[in-house]
Formats: sequence, structure tokens, C-alpha cells
Amino acid sequence: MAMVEVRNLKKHFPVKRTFIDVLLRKPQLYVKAVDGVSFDIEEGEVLGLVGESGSGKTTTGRLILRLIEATEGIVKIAGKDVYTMSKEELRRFRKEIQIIFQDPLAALNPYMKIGEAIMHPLKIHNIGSSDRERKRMVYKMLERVNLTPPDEFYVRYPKELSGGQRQRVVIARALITRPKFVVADEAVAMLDVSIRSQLLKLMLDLKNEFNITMLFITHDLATTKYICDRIAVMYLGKIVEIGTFHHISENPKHPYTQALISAVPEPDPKKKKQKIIPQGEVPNPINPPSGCRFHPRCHKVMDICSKKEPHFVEVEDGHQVSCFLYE
Amino acid sequence: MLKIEDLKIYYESKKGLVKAVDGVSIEVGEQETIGLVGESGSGKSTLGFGILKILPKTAQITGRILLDNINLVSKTEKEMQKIRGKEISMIFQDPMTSLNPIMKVKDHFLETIKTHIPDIEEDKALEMTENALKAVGINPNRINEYPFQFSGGMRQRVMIALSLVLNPKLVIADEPTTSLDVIVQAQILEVLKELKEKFQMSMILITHDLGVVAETADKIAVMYAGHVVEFAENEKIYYGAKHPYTKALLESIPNTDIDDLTLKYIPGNPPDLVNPSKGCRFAPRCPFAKDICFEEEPPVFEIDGSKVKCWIYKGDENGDG
Repeated sequence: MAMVEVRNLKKHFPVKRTFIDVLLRKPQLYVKAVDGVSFDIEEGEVLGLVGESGSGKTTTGRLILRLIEATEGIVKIAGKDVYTMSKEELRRFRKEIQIIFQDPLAALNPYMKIGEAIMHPLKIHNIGSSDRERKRMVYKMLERVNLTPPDEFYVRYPKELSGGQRQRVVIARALITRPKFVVADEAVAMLDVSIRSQLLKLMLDLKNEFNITMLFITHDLATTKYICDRIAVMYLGKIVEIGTFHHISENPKHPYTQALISAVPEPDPKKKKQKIIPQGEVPNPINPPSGCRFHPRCHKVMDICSKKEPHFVEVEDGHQVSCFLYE
Repeated sequence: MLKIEDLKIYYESKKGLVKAVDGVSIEVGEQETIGLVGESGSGKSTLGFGILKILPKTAQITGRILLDNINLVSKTEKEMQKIRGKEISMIFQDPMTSLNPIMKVKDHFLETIKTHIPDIEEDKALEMTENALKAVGINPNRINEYPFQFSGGMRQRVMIALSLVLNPKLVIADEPTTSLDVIVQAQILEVLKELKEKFQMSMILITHDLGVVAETADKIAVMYAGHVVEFAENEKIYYGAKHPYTKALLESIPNTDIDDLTLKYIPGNPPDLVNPSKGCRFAPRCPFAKDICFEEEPPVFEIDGSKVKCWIYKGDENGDG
């Protein structure tokens, strides 16, 4: 049984209607942020969820943790259905499921010492028998994420730390309850290159040490190589391709994935890639294109693409793509 | 065409004097693109803004910025206004905050044009606007729309068109693609490359991403903590980096090569620019640091056409040092 099972997950946000819209009886419109997403993540596996802004990747992460309510669909983590739990059950279950946010300055309370911030989840979930024991656990965690000496960092405030150090605090806080499953939402996107790799290495080490299952959300395909076992590519609320890193980077099948890979700027002037850059930008998710949502920008578009939605086809073992070229 | 000599830009702050740019010398040739690369806090944006003297009042600027042998450092604000937009223009990172939300696209252009050519006829100005928009791939019939009606990538195209409308000699682009998605970024980089050739201008492309300038820049200047630590031709940087910081920076970029799974990084953090150490500013993070690196700031050595600010190359130089 997979650690995380997601089936036909949907989130349709209602578009705000003005008074005039109501008077004119304009129909309620919805932003179909996530529109039927399904995948599994095995125990100890890291699934990379890659897409551009507005693809629905962040919403997917939040839906899985039930930080926002789904419109439709099933999410099971460690066999438990997240959406049939009561509020109290879910609150207790949060010990097992954590999130690492993108912007550590926004995710940390500026008036809370970082030691207290890391201890907070321990208190909420009644872990440790006394404050002394909890403090010892926090010290150990601070050391583990290389914020040493721990007694010095314990009493500091977020603004006294650098961006990389703050992100270490956010990681420490997410992992101190020893969760089984973690959503990392653009966890290293805000950091400079020289710091980014440090944090990726730390996350990779901790993931192996604590045997964590992870959903790694990113817009940057290049960083997924180091940490992700498999990758799912999202476009306009749907997964268009899923496979191992090797499948996706060496043998991308979906024209969108191919475009995404060829657009990555590489620090190598001689490596002039055969670029396939689609025209235009991601269309409006209120009124997504009919059929395959990528068809208006696709350079391999066929008649059928605007008429029907493609199904997932297995093109090689463990590599699925949703495109009529392969049906 | 543009020559910067020993430029220093210091800011007054609560903590003390921030030495954001501390003795930088670079040159930009005719129709040349310079990639100015560095991490946050390296001083790359301050340098870019400094060339146009768009700096806070507390900034102190010394040294020389020579545009066709005219020193901009000694120019008054009024004289600078004549240069900005006409001789040197700027493309900003975030077009949503740099375009006026309640002004039509057309009016942005007319304002810029009329500031520099006050007695221009309306028709002529509109024609210039339409040509600039066409050059960046925007349909000229959108000139009556407002910035919010454009997508992120299209807004950046408007910004680029606006910076080109008066045919400047030099365009400074400050992280022009950072807030954009990869596919849109690739589109915009393509537009910049085409325009550079069409309009025959020079460009300074400021970025934190060595990947972005690999295909566009002729020369690269790498900044670290207020210093340009290496300045060389594009290929010399990517295939023969000399400064330990440049090497480490290149190694820490994740590439898409499947077989290369090593994750390299630079230990430690960049220094505080209020009280930078007296020696080489990279010394505390440098694997090759010697005693002298902590004691004395290295001069710039010229090695095989690369300018490197590092003690390793003392004695190897050919020419000035």
C-alpha cells in the first residue's frame, strides 16, 4: 500500500461576483485550480510536483494536507482517509503530516524565539514529558540542521538569521514531530544558488535518516534531480506526465514537458539546445481550453486535441503520459 | 563606450556605513552585452542603479562613470534626467510595480518621448510607440490598454519596448526575467537577443543566474560582497573560471545532466557589508585561502585576458597588477 494515495482530487475556487453580476444573474464562475489529479507516493519516496505559476501545484499540496477543503476526491495518508476525519482526529494526525513553506520569514512568527518556534509543535502534540525534555529535543534538532551552538540559536529571533538559516529553522520545526509525510512547497526557491544546494543536501540527508515520504513542489526542474525519485508535471490543474526523473529528463513525451525542459537556462554557452518554446502563456483557468488544455500552444497539435481529453497511457514501465500522440 | 573606474557606492544605515559597491572597474564596449552576476547583497543592483544615479539620498558615490568620456558622477540630477531613457535606459525586475497601474500603455510611452523631445508631433510619437511595441511582439492595437490587462510576460515586453523607444546606447536590465516562469523567461531572453542586434545597443544584464546569461552575454562580471572578483569573456568564465568564488558558484548550479548527481555548495554565508573583513571578502569561505587573503585586499591581476581579484594569481600576471 502506498503511503500517500490521491484520487481524482479537485479544487474549484468560486470567483467573486460583484453586486452587479448578481443583479444581472451572471452565472457563478469557478477557477479550476486542481481538476482531477491522481497519484501514489510509496513509503520513503519523494515525488516532485513540477509546474509553472498557476498550474495548481501549491493548491494540490495544501489539499493533500487538508489545509484547504477539496471540492472532490480522496486523499489517503498511511491508509487513513484525510477527508473523512473529524476535526479533532485531523488535529492529532497533523503530527504525522507537515509542510515546509517557501518563505521562511512569512512562516515564522517574528516575535517568537526560534527555539520556541521549533518547540511549539511538541507542545501542541504533547510530545515529551517535560519542558526540559522538550528543550533537549529542540537542541538536538538545532544541531541536526547545523544551527550550532544550539543554545545560542535557541534564543535568537528570525530577523537575526540569514535566509538560509531561517529555512533551516522551518525544516527543523516541520521535522521535530517525526512526521511520516512532508510537503515541501518551493522549499529552496527563495535562496541564492550557493545556499540552495546546502539546503537540498540537508533535506536529502534528513529524508533518508527519518525515512520521510515527501511531496516536493517546485517550478525548477533542475533541483528535482537531487531529491526526487519520481516527477509529476502539472499544467493548468492537471498532471500531464509522470515518471522517474530519468524518464522525464531524458525521454520526455508530452510536448509541454519537452518545452519545459528545453527552456531551462544552462550555464554552458556552447550547449545551444534545440529550443521548443511554445507561444503565449498559460491560459485562464476559469475558462480552460477544451480537450487537452495544452492544445492552443502545442506545436504537435492534431484535430482530436481540441475535441476530447486525452487519457493516461503507459509509454514505458512506470512512465505515463496524457497526450493523443501516444494513444 | 561605458567605462567605470574605481566606483564606490556607500549607504548610510542604522548599523553604519554599508559598502554596497566598493571599488569596481569595468568597461562596456560598443554593442556588447555584459552579464553582471552575483548573489543577493553582492551589490550588483546597486551598481546598475548607480550608473544611472537612481540611488537613495543617503548614498555616497565616488569614482568615475564615463559615458563616451563624459563623467556621470559629477552630473547634477537635472543633467541626469536628460541622460536617463535617452542615452541609458533601464528595464526593471518587476514590471507590475514599475508601470503606473492607472496609466494606459500609450501614455507611458508618450510621457517618456515628450520628456526628451518636447516639441514632437503626437502622430510621430505614436508611430514610435507602435514601432517599439511591434519590435517586442505586442500588437500595436493594444496601446489603449492598462498594464493589468497584460500577462506577466507581456508586461515585461511593454517595459522592454518602453526602454527602447528612444534608441538608447545602453540598456541596463535588472533581473528582467527573475519573476517569470521558465518558458516565459526563455521567450523574453529571445526577445532581448533579437533587439540587441536590431537596435545595435550595448546592454548590462544583471542576474543571479549564471544560466540566464550563458547564451546572451559577451562578457561576464562576477560580483561578490561589493567587489567584481572576475571579469572576462563569456567562454573564459564558463570553461576556465579563475576565481575560487566563480568556480564554486558554477559548481553549485544544478544542471540537468542525469549522471552528475554531486551536490556541491559553498559553505558559510556572504559577509556583512557594514564591516567587511579587511582582506579578500571571500577568504572565510574560500578553500584556497592563505594568510595573506585575510590580511590584505587582493588587487586585480590580468591572466590570459581575464581580470581576477585573487591572490592565487600573484606572480602569474601579464601586464598590470
